[in-house]
Amino acid sequence: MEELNKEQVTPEVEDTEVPLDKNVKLMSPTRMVVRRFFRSKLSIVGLVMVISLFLFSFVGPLIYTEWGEIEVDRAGKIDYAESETTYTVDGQEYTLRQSVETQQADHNLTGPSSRHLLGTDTDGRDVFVRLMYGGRISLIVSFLAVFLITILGVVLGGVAGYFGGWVDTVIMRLSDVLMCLPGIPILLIISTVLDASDIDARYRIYLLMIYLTFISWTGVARLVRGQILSLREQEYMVAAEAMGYSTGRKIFKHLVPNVMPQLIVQMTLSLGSMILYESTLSYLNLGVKPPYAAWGTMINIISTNQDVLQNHLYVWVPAGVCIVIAVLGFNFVGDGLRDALDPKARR
Amino acid sequence: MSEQQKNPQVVYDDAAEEAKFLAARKAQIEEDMQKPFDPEAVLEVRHLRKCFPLKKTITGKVTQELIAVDDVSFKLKAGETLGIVGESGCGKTTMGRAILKLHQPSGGQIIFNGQDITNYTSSQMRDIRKEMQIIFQDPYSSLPPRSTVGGILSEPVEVHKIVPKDQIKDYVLDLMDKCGLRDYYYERYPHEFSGGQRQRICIARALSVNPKLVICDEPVSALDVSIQAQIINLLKKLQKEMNLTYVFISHDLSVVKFISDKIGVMYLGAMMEFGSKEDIFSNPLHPYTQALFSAIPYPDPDVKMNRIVLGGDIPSPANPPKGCRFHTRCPYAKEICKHVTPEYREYEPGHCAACHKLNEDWEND
Amino acid sequence: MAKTENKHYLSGKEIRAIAKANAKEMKRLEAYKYRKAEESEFLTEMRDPNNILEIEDLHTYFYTEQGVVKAVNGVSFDVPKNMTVGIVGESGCGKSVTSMSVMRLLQGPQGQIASGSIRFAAKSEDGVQKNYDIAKMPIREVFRIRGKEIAMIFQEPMTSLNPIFTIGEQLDEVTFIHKPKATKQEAKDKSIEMLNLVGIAMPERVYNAYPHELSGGMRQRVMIAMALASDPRLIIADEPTTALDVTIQAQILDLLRDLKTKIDGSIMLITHDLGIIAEMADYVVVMYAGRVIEKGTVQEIFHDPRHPYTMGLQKSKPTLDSDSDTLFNIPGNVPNPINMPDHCYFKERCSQCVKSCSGEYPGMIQVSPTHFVACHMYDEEAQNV
Repeated sequence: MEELNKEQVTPEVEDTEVPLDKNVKLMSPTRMVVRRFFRSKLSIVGLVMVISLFLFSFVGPLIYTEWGEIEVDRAGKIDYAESETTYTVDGQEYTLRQSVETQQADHNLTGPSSRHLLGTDTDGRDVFVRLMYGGRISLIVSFLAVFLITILGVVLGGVAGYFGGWVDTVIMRLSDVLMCLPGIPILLIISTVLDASDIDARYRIYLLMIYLTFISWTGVARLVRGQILSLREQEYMVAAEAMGYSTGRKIFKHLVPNVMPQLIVQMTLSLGSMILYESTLSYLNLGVKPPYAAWGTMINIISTNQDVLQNHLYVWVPAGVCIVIAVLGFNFVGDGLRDALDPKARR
Repeated sequence: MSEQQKNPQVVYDDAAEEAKFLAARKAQIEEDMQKPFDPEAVLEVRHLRKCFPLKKTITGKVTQELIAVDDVSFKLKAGETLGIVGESGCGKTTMGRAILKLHQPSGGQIIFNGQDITNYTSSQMRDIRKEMQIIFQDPYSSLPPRSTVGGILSEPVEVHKIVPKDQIKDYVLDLMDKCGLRDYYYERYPHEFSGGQRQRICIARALSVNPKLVICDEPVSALDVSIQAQIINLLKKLQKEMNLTYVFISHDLSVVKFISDKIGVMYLGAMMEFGSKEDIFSNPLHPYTQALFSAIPYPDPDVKMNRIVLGGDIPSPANPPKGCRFHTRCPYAKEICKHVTPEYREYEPGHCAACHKLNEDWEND
Repeated sequence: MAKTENKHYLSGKEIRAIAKANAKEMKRLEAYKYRKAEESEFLTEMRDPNNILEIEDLHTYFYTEQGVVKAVNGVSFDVPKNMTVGIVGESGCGKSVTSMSVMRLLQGPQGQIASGSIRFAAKSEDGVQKNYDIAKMPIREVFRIRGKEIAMIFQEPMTSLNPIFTIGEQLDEVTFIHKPKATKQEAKDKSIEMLNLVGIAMPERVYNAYPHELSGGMRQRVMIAMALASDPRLIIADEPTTALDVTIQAQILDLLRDLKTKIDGSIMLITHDLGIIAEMADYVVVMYAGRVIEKGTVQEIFHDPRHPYTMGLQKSKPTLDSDSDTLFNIPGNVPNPINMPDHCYFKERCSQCVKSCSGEYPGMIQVSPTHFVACHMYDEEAQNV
């Protein structure tokens, strides 16, 4: 050691820092997320499914304007019913030949044709067009519901997580109670009440979804609360505390942006389940009621009509397929986002 | 055991000893609390105590608590560095955070800059915050992942209005230069940097508000040896330039020796020994300090150290041993150590320790 | 924003090019890893019969999205019988990856042994001595040596034991894998014996305890007992004391030193602490940025270090008896592992550069029969030898 010190170089006490290697390129954080999202084939499939559903439901009706949502195809073919009536007046025989122009009442349950791409339902309404309008309702309603759920969940979960103590206890026990409420039976009751009161069939689904929002924020609230509890222990939050930042700044500049990724994932995944909920309600005839279209309502026909169930698949199968595509699509995208946003799930 | 068999007349009553100890301490605390503040000291800590509740009854009454910091006192002048050494669970981190009031102390006094800040509310603290800062051990979790370096460093400057708004960027760039960071790091995210560079960012953030006191909570433990040296040199350089006072917490005695003027050795929440660097290193009084010294592996294959290897494990801080905390592992422990808590006393000027072995009656006991 | 960043961050095109190249390589290496092979394919001869492990020109790469990380880039060293070889280096120098390569524990498909050989002299069975090339072994065959002939002690004693089984169950399992015909009682006896060996005072009680009931030091002892339970020829200890307190570290180091005399095997000790190396090792390998920059006996490395990095490392560690005011420090950082330069990796941080440093990466130069260094400062010396 002694010898070594003598021949040592001048000790480098100057505080030096070799710059980041300039020719080494890294990936920007955004690109990393995008890259990880698109690496999974499933999330691409999901994204394609979701986007095409959107185009189908929102752009479709603008392009394909042959039929309206509740428009009944009454243009049955014109027929001439010939009739001959012979009657005798004053011993003389008269023959009355009549040619009556008849019109088929509705163009119902016609199979797929160039006139009706997916045929018509029992009332003569175009299935294809109704699919588009049904998609609109499903997407709008579920987006609204998820949006409300998220706002409610973030606020309540955030408050519970950040302040803790009795606030936390009250909010969490409230969420426990809400989780105990049986969803469908209460919806049935509300639906009956709505039936009794005079409410436009198109808006009742929104009222039902508001109720759903009211009971389903608990999941988001728990997620946010859990995240905030764990983030609060992170040293950068302690550092923010030591810096003397105000509570508002700590919550909104430091906590919330770090909860966002999990929140986005949760939102995407719950979109799927909300669509399912909406369809269930409509299927049970609680949500959108005929003549207005919803995917659930379109399937509902089979519960009363054996003939359609067996012989007219084109009436209800497409709606079912749409539901599957929507739910799967959102779940695939959600899973893809989860893997992409979670830096720990690196594979 | 054998000790007691030899001297059957020595019988200790644990409860009485404890009551005696607590009464003596209470009197001491009350006496000390009344003393005027030392005008020279930047930081004065008197009988600091921090407990965490472990078990509570339904009504919120605490039935069992963990005493993380138990009766710690010291004074620190401007420009000095206090090194705190101890193993995991000794309460050194809790102490650092209690001084900053990130944990509300359960007892004692913290006097910072001539003000008793122990019972300040959080809004009163907000103004004091810029005077005292903290650097953490883990440079990975202590930087917010979604802000750029520039954002991280300018936020405190903006909040505390250190410089006018239009000068913030220049101020931050100047600060980055001081801490050995290149100006083009301004736009980068923390995840692009290595541990050493991140620690420099943390230091820059702590210094951005011109603090007087910086608590360094194991700032180099997570870094490599060659980077450790860089950071320690940086801290020393900045101390000289900005006349900073450090409380440097570490488990590594050799690092603490290098940077500190005074050193405190903690074990299970209590201060075992306290003194100037020279005192502690040339004449360690407490057996625990001695064991800590000899436990450090020496980087020379030819030096075979006569090592004191402590047996056993560190007891749980939730259930510390009765009497002297260290008696379960102490090579010199006698019967008295198991029952009587040793007094924390000044044995040389400015050199305090808590051990029965140092008292005159040790040999004849 | 995107415009200004483009210079610094990878573009989409570059990322796709990297991904394509990686996918091809990973597929080839994965296929090689999972291939079926005759035993003769991975049998080999040791260069020196006194060695238990010979690593030669080992390359272990990680195919990441940002490029190929050459974590281990041409590492060669030997582990002689009954010796302790210490591998020292800073984080990211590839010391752990080397040990993972020996154990074949690399996370596929990103982590792959790209080339090189790891020759291991297995225990002789029925008088037949077999030497395996671990790098060439199909992953299915690795069970022959992993855990049986080479055991590993990890850094984190808190997470390396399964929390839902008792210590006894986990220890017995090792014995059963090693000797499938053993009875329960035999396994228990062996486990208790192992716990005794690692200095656990009440082995019966620990045998029935769950991991959470033990302290960090105790768990590390149990981990060592597990490693010893199968009488391995080589123990790889990857930072065995880093997570422990100094006083507990002293206990564990004492234990390891004792064990070395008791067991008939070698230890490969990986650490960043020069103090531990000085106390424990017979031979030292100093690694930097995926390469071995210096290797030799412990005396040579500590008393006659040749590489500027080794010297700097020794000086930057504050010791209890040093009295200087500022610490020596090596400036700068370890270079980014992607796109390593062609010249010496240490050049940017080195204060003793000579002209040839800008040239190609220095080769290993022998300065004594056991002492090798990779530095251009000794080029002339090499010619004289």
